[in-house]
Amino acid sequence: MKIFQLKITNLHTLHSCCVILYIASLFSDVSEASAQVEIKANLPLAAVLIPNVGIEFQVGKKKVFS
Amino acid sequence: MLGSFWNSIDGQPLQVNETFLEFRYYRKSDLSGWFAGVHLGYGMFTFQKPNDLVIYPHYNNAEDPNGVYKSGRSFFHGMTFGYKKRFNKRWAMELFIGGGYAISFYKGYEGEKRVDFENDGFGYRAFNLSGEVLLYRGGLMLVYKILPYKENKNKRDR
Repeated sequence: MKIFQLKITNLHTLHSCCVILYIASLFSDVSEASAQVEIKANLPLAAVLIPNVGIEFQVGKKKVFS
Repeated sequence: MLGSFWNSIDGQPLQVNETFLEFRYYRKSDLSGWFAGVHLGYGMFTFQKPNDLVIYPHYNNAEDPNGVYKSGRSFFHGMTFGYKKRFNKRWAMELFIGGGYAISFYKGYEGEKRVDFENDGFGYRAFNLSGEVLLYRGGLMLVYKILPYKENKNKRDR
């Protein structure tokens, strides 16, 4: 159990990087917002009756939030 | 957003839901081509642990015996990579794969009986904790673009 906990500790860098990158990205470039909205569905999962859908909002020239 | 409501596949439950908030950057300004994204997510599950999807650590690759499954909650954060191909103004296909670090809180069961670790004579733990880097999302998406109202209005006026 102790070994397991040590391995988790080693992953905290990845943890922190992802959270910081994600939060920073939310506040970037919003002023360029345009109106594109896309809806999507995962075809292979739909074939096995597992619904997986998404909605995507454009928040910048090349950036989206979903 | 994903939901699986199967009570039994090969005799084992496969009940999962995952919800993600993601920020993506596309290489092209028409939002197609290669893209990368970062995400946060939350999920609930009742299933046998999918060891094949675990990238790190491989401290335990033992499959759950038949009838034994885990049930709990997960928090995800990680990255997504993929490619979107536009067919016309409205329709596109998107191939993507995503993974990252998942923290899970779960209990182990066989039927309705707890079978996970006992806490040195103090009964079962409230929850077991598990943390892994793994692949937890992916697929082939059919994408439909909802055109802005202005564009529709212009079409009607023509």
